[in-house]
Amino acid sequence: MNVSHPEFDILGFLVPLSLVAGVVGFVIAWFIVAILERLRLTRYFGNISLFFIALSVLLAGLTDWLVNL
Amino acid sequence: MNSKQKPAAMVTGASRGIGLGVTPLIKPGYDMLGTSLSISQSKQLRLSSDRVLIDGDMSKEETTAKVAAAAIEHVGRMDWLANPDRRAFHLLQRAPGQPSEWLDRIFVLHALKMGLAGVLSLFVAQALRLQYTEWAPFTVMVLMMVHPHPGSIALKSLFRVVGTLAGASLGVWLVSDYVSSPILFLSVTFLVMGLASYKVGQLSSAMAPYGYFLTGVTLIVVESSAIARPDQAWSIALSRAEETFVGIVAVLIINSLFRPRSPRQEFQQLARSAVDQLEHLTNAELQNIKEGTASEVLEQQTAVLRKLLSLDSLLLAERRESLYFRANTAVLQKVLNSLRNLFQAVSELSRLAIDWRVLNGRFEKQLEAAQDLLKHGFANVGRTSVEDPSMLATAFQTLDDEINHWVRAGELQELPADQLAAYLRCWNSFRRMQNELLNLYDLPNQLQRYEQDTVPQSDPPKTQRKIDRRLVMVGVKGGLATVVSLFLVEWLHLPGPTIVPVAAWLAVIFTSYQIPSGRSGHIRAFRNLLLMALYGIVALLGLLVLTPFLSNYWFMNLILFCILFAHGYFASKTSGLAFWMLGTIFLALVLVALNTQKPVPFAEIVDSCLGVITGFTVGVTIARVLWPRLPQKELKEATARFCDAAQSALAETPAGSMSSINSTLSALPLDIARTTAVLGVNGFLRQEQAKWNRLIPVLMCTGDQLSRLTSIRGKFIDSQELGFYLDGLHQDFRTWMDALGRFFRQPDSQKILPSLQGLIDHLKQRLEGLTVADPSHPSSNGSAPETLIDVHEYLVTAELMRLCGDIASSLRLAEYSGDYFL
Repeated sequence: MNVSHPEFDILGFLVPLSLVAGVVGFVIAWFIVAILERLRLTRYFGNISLFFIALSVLLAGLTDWLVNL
Repeated sequence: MNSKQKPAAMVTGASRGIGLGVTPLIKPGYDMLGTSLSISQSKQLRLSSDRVLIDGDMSKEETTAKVAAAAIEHVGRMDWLANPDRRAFHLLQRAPGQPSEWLDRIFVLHALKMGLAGVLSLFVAQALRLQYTEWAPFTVMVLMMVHPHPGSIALKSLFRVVGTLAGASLGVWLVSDYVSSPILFLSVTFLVMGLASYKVGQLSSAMAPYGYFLTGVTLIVVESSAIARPDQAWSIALSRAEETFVGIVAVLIINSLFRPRSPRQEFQQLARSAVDQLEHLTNAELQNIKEGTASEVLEQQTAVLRKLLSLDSLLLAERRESLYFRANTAVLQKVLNSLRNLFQAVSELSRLAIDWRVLNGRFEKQLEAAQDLLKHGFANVGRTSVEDPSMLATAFQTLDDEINHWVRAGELQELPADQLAAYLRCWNSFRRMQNELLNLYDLPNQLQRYEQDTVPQSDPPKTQRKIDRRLVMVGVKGGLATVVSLFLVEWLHLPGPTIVPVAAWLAVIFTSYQIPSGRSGHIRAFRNLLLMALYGIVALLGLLVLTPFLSNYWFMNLILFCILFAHGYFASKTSGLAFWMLGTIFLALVLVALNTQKPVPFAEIVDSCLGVITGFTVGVTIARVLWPRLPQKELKEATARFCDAAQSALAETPAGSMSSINSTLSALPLDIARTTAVLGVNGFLRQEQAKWNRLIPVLMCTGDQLSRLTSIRGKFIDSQELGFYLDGLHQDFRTWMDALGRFFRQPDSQKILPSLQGLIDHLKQRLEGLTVADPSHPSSNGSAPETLIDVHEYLVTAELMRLCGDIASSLRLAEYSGDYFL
C-alpha cells in the first residue's frame, strides 16, 4: 500500500488514499456478501464475518494498487 | 375472543359520510367494528355475528374505553382502519399488554431525574475543580440506565464504589510498575478484563458482578489515560474515583428527594393488572373449551408471563429498598406465588382435550356453576368487595362435595376414559384457581398490610455455580478487545487514544449480552456498526456547529440535559442493552470532555469522535469474528439444553436438585421466546419464526408436565406394579428426549425422530383398563379417579412430546448455519 500518495481534497478536507481505498473495499465487499446472502450461499462459509473482513482488506489493497498504477 | 384467526377492520363514523361509504369495501371474512354517535339506530348497518356496533363520541375517554373493551372481547385483533382519526390510532396503540399512560409518565419522570442528576453532577465536579469532569455524568447515565428505584441504585452505587477503587488501584499498579514490559502489562490486563467480561454475564441474577464491571471500566480508563504519562497514574486514578463518587452522590440525592419510586406501590398496580389479564385469559380458555375452538391464547399468556417476570424484579427491588438490602417481603412473595399458581392453573385448561358435547347436562351445569363462582372470585380480588369470601368458598365446597359423591358412587363411569380424566383435571384446575383466588381476596388491602411482613422468609436455594463456557468466550473476547485496542493506541497512535479501549470493551459487552434481553446479538453487527459510525459522524458535525455556542455555560448544560433526558426516556422504554445507548453515552462523554468553556481545537473534536468509532470497530469486529452469538444458533442450543433438563427431570436420580431443574425447564422456553422475537431477518427465517412461535407454548406445557410426572412417580414408588410401569414410561420419555436433543444439536435433513404413536396407543389402552377395573385395584390405593388422572398426565405428556416432535421435524434446522450478517 503506497502511503506516500497525496491526499484527496474533498471540499477542503484532505482525505488519505488509504482511507478512500478502505471505504471502496468495504462497500464492494458489502455488495458481494449481500448477493451471497440473497442467494443463501453464505451458509457454506464457516465464518462469514472473517470472510467479509478478508474480502474488504483484499479489495482495499486492490483499489489502492489500481489507483497507483 | 372468538375469532382471533379472522382479520378485523375498524370503521369510525360508520353511520354516514365516508365511514358509511367504506363499509361495503370491507372484504368478506373480515370482522367489523363500527363506531359513530348513533350507529345503533342506523338503517344501513345491522348488528351481526361478524359486526360489532358501538355508539359514542370517539373524542370521549369512556367511548374509547368501550371500543377497546369491545375490540378485545369480540374481535381480538385489528388489521385495517377505515376513516380513522388520530384518536383511533391512539386507541390501537394501547393494545392489551402494552404500557398504559401512567407508565409513560413514569418514563418521563425517570428521564427528568436523569437529566437533573447529570447536570448537578457536572456542576459539583466543576465546582470542586476535578480533572476529568466527564466521568461524573457518565456515572449518572450508567447508574440510572437500568434500575429506577432508589434502593437498587444505592446497592449498585455501593458496588460501583468498590469496583472503582479496585480498578483504580490495579491500574496504578500496572501502569507504574509494568508499562515498560508490554507482554506482562498486556497479559495481566487481558486476565483482569477477561474476568470482568465473564462476570458481567451474571449481572441479571445478582448485583455483585457490577463491581467487576466497574473494575474493568476503571482499569481501562486509568491505563489508557496514563499509559503515555505513567508518572501521573496516581492523579488520574484519584480523579476518576472522585468523579465517580460525585456522580453517585448526585444520583442518590435526586432519586431519593425528587419523587422517589416505590417498588411496593408499583407491585400493587401491576399485580392488579395481572389479575385482570388472568381473568381475560380464563374466559378465553373456557370459551375455547366450550366451543371446541383452538383460538390462540399465546399472546395473552405471554403478556401475563411478562407481568409475572416484572413482578419478580419489583419484588427484588423492594428487598433492596431496605438498609441491608434484604427487607422482609413475605406478603409480596405470597401474592406473587399465588399469581404464579393461578397462572399455572389457568394454563392447564389449554391442555385439556374436553369434548363439551360428550358431557351431559349435570356435568356441564357443574362446570358452569364453578365458572360463575370463579367470576365472583376474580371480582373480589381487584376491589374491596362486598361479598363475603367464605360464602364463595362454601358454594364451591358444595360443588366439590357433589363431585366427590359421584366419584364414590361410581357415577362417573358413564363418561369415556379420556373425557373422564380430562373432566376431573379440569375440576382440579378450577379448585386450584378457587384456592388461589381466595388467597388473593381483597388484594389492595392485603398489600397494604405491612405488619405481616415480619413473617420470616426462607432464602432461595443456593445453586451450584459452574463455569459457563459461553461466558468464558465473552471473557476472552473482552480481554482481547482491550489488549488489541491498547496495543493499537500505543503503537499505531490512533485518534482519540484515551477513549478507544473503553469503547472497544463496552462494544464487546453490549453486543455479547444482548440476546437474553431480547435483542439480536451479533446478527447484522457490521450494519449496526456502520449505522453507529454514521451516527458518530452526524454527532461530530453537530458538535462542530455547536462548539462556539457551547462555550456558554448555560447552553452547554441545556444540551447535556436534553441528551440525558432523551437517553433516560428511551433507555427506560427499551428492553435490555441496545447499541444506540452506547452511542448516546459516548456522545455525552465527548460533549463534556471537550471542556468547551475554553477554546477547543478543531482536531480535538474530530479526534474524540473518530476515537469512539475506532473503538467500536475494534470491539464489534472481535466480537463478531470470534464465537458470534446468533439467534438461530442460540435457539438450537437452548432447545437442546431444554431436552437435557427434561432428561434430568425424568431420571430416577436427577443430576442436581429438582427445583433447579424445574426452574431451568420453565426459564428456557422464555429464553427461546425472547430469541425467537429477534429471529426474523429474511423471508426464510421469518417463516421459521412462525414455527418456533408454535413450538414455545408446547415446550412450556411439556416442561410443566415433566415436573408433575416426577411427583406422580414419587407417589407410586411403593406400588410395585404401577411403579414398574411408570419407570418404563420415564425411560421411554427419556430416550425420546435424548433423540430430540441430538436432533437439535446435530441437525440433518435426513434425520427422523422416533415415533411416539405406539406409546400413546398403549397409554390409552391402559387408561381404559383403569376406568373399568380400578375401584378395587390394589395399586390405586382405592382412589380410582386419582390414578386415572395420574396416568392421564402421562398421556398428555406423550401427546405434547409428539406435537413437539412434529413441529421440530417441520423446522429446517440444517439450513440455519448461515450467519445472516448483513
